[in-house]
Amino acid sequence: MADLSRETLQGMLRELFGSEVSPADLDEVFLHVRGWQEPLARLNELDMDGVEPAFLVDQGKE
Amino acid sequence: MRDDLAFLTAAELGRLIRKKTISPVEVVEATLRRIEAVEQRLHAYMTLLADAGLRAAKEAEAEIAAGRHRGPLHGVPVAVKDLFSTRGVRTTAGSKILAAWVPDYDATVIERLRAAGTILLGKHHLHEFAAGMGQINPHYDNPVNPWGPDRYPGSSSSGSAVAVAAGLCAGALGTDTGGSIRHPASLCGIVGLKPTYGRVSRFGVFPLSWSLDHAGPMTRCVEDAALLLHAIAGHDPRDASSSRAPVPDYGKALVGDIRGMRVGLLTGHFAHPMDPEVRGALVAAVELLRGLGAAIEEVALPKAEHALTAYHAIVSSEALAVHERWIKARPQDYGGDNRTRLLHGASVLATQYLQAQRARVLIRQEVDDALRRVEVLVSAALPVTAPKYGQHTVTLDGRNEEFRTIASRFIRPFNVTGHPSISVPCGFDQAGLPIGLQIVGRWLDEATVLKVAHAYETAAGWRSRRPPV
Repeated sequence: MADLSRETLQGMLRELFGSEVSPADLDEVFLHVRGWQEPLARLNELDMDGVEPAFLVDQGKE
Repeated sequence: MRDDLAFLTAAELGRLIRKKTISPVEVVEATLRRIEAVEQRLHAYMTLLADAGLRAAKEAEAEIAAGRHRGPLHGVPVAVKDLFSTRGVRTTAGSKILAAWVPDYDATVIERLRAAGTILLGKHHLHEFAAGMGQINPHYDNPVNPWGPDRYPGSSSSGSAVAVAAGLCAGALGTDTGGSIRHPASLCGIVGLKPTYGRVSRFGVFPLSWSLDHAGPMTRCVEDAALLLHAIAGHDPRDASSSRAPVPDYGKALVGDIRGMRVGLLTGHFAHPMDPEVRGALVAAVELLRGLGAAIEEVALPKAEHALTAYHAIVSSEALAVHERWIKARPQDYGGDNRTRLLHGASVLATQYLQAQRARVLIRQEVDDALRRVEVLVSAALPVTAPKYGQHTVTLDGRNEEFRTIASRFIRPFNVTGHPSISVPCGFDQAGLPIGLQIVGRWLDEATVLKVAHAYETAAGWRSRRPPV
């Protein structure tokens, strides 16, 4: 998620899981999130005009 | 002499059993003696089914004596990663949460192994819920690489790779979501085959990521991989992604040579970074294939880099969906590394997941296009050999790289595309640690992958080496 702050992430996880995530877990998760921001953004550099998502049930049926 | 039975291949055992030169009971007893001798050091088995295995061996012996021979795997002892549901036998998925779960049904592949007459000897250790490459399982014993007592065996089908390499079963089944068959196969010096997505049923396999999970054989030779794949492949109405394509006789596909076959040597993403000793083994393997008559050409897959990102978005989202109920209710029952990775899935947006699934189409098209020009693609399976337990970084091309990131770089793109991919031993480094060669084939064309792997294996002769344990 682009520009996600630690506080926003903390709030998101609190809302999703109904309780506070430990500071150590939050640090670790935030590290992962930061590390993947740029590669995820770069996916949009692919020319995906007209490309529909691959859904799993179609993958093997050929 | 009899204890050497534990190191024969499944195919060799099957032939001897068919000729009644040996009995399934002798084979199981020899394998159990081998397990007793080394299991304390290697920690391959989560659950050992010694009594049930001996009973099944006696039944197989009686059946064969009565003239009811089921095929090339009848009476051969196998074991599976403890991720496959087994009727009446606990199935932990390597987790604390399922520590006492005893399914009342078999996974489809277990049913098929039983129908082929194999003897189920036990269930192997794995990483928690088959996740956490490069990590340890905090809940159970962690398998040890038989090629070095301080060496990491790979993940997540680690116990299966260790057991096959060390003669603790004749063959095994593993699962591969992001490389988990080929990764430990390469590090432990065995053959590991990830079939095409949809070729082998996932029913009864505890999911990590529905659209990336594959099940496949882990064996001491390519012929065994062909036999096991033949036993488990084919349509299953209980798996929505199961292919209806007919299953060829993979054993028959191994005959003949590879003269004139076009082999693509992967460059770019698949060539860097890489340990020089691994690179040397890869170059030698390619030259051997050339010497066998294959035409080698270089092939680039520029979109492969995006495959790792697409993988990340897909596995993070799907794994959290699988675990959402438990991670909310019992977060403390997950290992710390797994817990934070699952929590991370909450940060992946629905749009990012869908973009990843769209990118996946493009990446697959790129691989399909390349495989119209050549019949198979080859690369090193892993850029490194087995690190020491607890070693989290490796130095490659002068840079420190995180092992868990770098180790799956060459194999993971084919989880995203679904193409069949095998790791076959292609040498050893100076420390005596195995190196794997990856061979990737066309959609549903495991037969050609196996044929090239078999031709290479036969000519290279690495299979005669045994681990020093």
